Amino acid sequence: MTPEDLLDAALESDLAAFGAAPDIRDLLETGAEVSGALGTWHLDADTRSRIYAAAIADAIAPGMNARLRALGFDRRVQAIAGGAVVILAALAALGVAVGRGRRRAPAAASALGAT
Amino acid sequence: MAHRSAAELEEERLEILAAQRDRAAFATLYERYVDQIHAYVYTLTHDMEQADDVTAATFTKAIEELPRFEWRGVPYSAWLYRVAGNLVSRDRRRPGWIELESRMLPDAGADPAEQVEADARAYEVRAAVAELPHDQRQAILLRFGGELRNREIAEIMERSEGAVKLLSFRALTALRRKLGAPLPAERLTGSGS
Repeated sequence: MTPEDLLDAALESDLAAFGAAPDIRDLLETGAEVSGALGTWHLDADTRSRIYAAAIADAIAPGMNARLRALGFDRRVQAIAGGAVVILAALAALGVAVGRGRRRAPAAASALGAT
Repeated sequence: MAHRSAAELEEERLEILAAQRDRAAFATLYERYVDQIHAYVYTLTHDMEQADDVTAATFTKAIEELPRFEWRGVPYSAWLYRVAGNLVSRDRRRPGWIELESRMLPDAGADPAEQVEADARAYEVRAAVAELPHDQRQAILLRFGGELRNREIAEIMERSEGAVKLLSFRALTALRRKLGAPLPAERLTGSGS
């Protein structure tokens, strides 16, 4: 078994490999520390929201963020614009839903009247 | 190392199905993975602005591809990491720099002095990871940050599983040499394993 196989087996909790190679213990410890250090990476709420708004806005209006950046607007403006696009999209979806409801309403009323 | 259990994978499959029916449900997947993807991109690029942009672009792609996404029994993050990695490769022309991680949240309720020490050590560890050669860095980030299996990492990196094992081994050996033993508290708890 090569050292990398041994380490891999130990990382996968193969206790036999762990016991057979005490030197591997140091690497496991370092692996655990790396895992812990990477796990402490938490974005603040503002950044999370801004990234999400940018992602949604680009999915709805592709290229909008790039155009805003090219015009010299900073990230906060992009986030506000992204939020506006999301709200407009939500309103548009609501409008469609209301419209559908209105179109269906007469049919539903006549169906009720028929019974 | 904790990989995803079958029950957790099934839960994720259902969350993806829910998001395919209602885009608003995608927020659950975003919340679960945004920190991981951001940490991955930042450690690859050393550039916070680029990390923000690439993370946003990764989730844009995820939202766009959601209707066509097919569950293959591996964590959704494997797909996100692949997209993020491709975007970083495409965007390599921009120069990178290290900046302070001022937007990271402190651990609530921790003793301030211990927190400062732990933060400094975590920063030191992440900086050491960031200095690894690109392939080793990617293997370590996917294995210990993304908690992915070798075959999933091999697929993302387009390398063999054997190559991924070797990269992880070399990376951990280099990190151990550079960092030495963990802080005593870290040793006792063995956190993150």
